[in-house]
Amino acid sequence: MTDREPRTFPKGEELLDILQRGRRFTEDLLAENERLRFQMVGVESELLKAQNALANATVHSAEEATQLRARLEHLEKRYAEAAAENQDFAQRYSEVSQENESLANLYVASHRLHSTLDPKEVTEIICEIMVELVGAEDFGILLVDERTNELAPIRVEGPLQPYPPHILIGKGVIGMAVAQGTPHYDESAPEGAPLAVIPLQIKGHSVGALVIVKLLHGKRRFDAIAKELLSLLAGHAATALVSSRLYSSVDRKLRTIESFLELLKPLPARA
Amino acid sequence: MRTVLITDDSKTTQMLVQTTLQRLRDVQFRTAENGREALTVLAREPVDLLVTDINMPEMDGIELVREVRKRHPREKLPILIITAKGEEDARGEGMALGANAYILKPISGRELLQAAGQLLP
Repeated sequence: MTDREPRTFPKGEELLDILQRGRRFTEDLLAENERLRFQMVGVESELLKAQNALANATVHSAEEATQLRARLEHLEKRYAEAAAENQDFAQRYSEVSQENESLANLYVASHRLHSTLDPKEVTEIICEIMVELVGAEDFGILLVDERTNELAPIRVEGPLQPYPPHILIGKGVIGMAVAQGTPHYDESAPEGAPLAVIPLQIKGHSVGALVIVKLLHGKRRFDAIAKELLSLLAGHAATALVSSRLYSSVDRKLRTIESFLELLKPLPARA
Repeated sequence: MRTVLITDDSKTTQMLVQTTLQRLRDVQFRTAENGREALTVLAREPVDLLVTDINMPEMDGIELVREVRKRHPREKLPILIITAKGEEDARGEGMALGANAYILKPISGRELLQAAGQLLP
């Protein structure tokens, strides 16, 4: 590998670690589920036995009947507790499963975004992520022009109409979201207007925005995973876009300097 | 060890499918960027599940399903197609040609796991 070749950022490895921890946690939960199911089967069986015993028993004394009723009540209580615990587990399993999916998406997105320092490729990867992971159909990637304080689209999928020529920061839906640095969702927005504006931020400073105008399959709502991914993606996409542009600009300058240095080299002496 | 062949020209999708299906046990992966590359892999080694996109350069997913079914019956090599909006006709054609199942984009990890889990031997 030469020193010009891009290197994968350590963020990808950190995310892989998080993902693996998520996987281990899920496996623990599955083991816990198995234990609970086993416990429920045991309690059910004991309960059944106690009910049968009560039904068939020849009650010799009032004391014996009281004991059997108490045991039955105790078992019913334990059964209810195990059932509640199981329900709680099912809820937790669903949450963890959703979290895992979210982490998997983020891991893929982050790994892909930081796998290159070519600005065109980064833009292409953001587009892939928007379509494949978020489910966006019409969207735009906008960057802030520091000289004019305006947002300019660097890539648009779908109609250009939602992106007027001069989007000032602090003005309009897109400009406001970027100025405030907080995602804006309007799932009831009229057709052609942004359903979501996600500011791209580096250390709390907005450098651009992802604007989604239409979702795949005519959907109007973002599910929890898509929202989570978008908010996490904002930081990674911002870093990838800005660093690739900086790298590209520095690389161009370096090549120019190298060419000048080459010209300054003394010509070989003639024989 | 079961082998899953992922065919998609998008590296993001390839990686997402692989990351998701890694949760299944005893699975290894091969990747191809289009139908032609997928056929080369299939000629070289046994595959237990083919996951393919529809829109791809050189040879698309429909052509791939058609070619695969000339050599491998449905029971021997299940095919799962991944489709996006506007590909309803292609999806129908893929299913008619012998794909076993399909899932829609954006890919849901749960749906993918469920479909692949049912199709893998």
